[in-house]
Amino acid sequence: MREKLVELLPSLYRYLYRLSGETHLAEDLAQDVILRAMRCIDQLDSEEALRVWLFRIGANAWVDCCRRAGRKRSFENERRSQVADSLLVSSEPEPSEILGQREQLQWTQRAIMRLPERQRMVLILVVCEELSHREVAEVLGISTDAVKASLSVARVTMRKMLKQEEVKND
Amino acid sequence: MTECPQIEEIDAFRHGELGLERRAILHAHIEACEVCQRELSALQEVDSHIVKAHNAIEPRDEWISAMKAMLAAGGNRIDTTIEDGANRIRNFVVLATAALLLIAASLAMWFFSEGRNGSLISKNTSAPDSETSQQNTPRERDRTDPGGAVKEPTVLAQGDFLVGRHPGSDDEIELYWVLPIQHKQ
Repeated sequence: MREKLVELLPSLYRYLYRLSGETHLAEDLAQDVILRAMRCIDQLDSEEALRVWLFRIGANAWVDCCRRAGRKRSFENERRSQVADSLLVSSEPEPSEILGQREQLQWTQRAIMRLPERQRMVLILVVCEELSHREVAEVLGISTDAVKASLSVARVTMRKMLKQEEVKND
Repeated sequence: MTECPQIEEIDAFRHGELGLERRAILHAHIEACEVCQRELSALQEVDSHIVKAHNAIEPRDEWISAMKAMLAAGGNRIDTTIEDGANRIRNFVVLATAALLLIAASLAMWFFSEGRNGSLISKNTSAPDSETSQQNTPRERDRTDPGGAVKEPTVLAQGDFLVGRHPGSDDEIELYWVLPIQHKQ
């Protein structure tokens, strides 16, 4: 089970980074999640359930952290964009093709971080972490209908934002 | 041909979230409509962009190593915030240096104000002493005499203390307190 925990570290980190938008906070939260998980890992029946369980602890840890710090649960659009930009900073000169791909990646990062928190998390958990709607509902403590609705809105919003970028760059 | 569906409905169609009848209608429409076909493939492209962008976020190697070490140690908390740790050390060094400088400055001020080479200092300030209140009195001369020792016999009161250099060494400073004398009955 511990090997599986190690395997899941990058996914857990990315997930918490998408929630918090801060590298160190995501690291601290992930560490807390692992510590909490280790305390009662023996109660888990299967390795399959571990991933959903970790994400759920992560979501709770984020809520606790916000409550303790009295911070707003989601950070402002402007800061989200800055976070997205800071992910892809490179000082080295690059060929135009790589530069194009990089720019595209940057738009996508920016667009993801601009989504409201619930839509962002549903999108990440379904599209990137390949969780089912039922599992996402369990992680976020919402209904499967709410997951479907958020997912649809998030995808369409992403499509619109990326389309705007394409138009701007054409 | 039917009217083009909303983008939300095309997305629902893509994920099989529509009823059979509506699904059949949309299927027929998309087969015939180039605009909706482009929209459908664009939505698929969005997902692939999202996955790429999400996976581009990598945790720091140091953090991964620290977490592995923590798991190997059975879950003992490890300070993974290396930069924060460095900042804490730097802050501690700055504060410790400032505290030491302050202590050194205070000691130096005390040392120079109270007599560098040995002096007689009275703590009994209640009764003004005509000798000590004037410059160039024998006591004052004692205080400023570079010899360091009290030359003239001086009457000391209880509570006075005497600071002077040890006769054998220039470095050592000795402090003598004048204690009450116990007379045997």
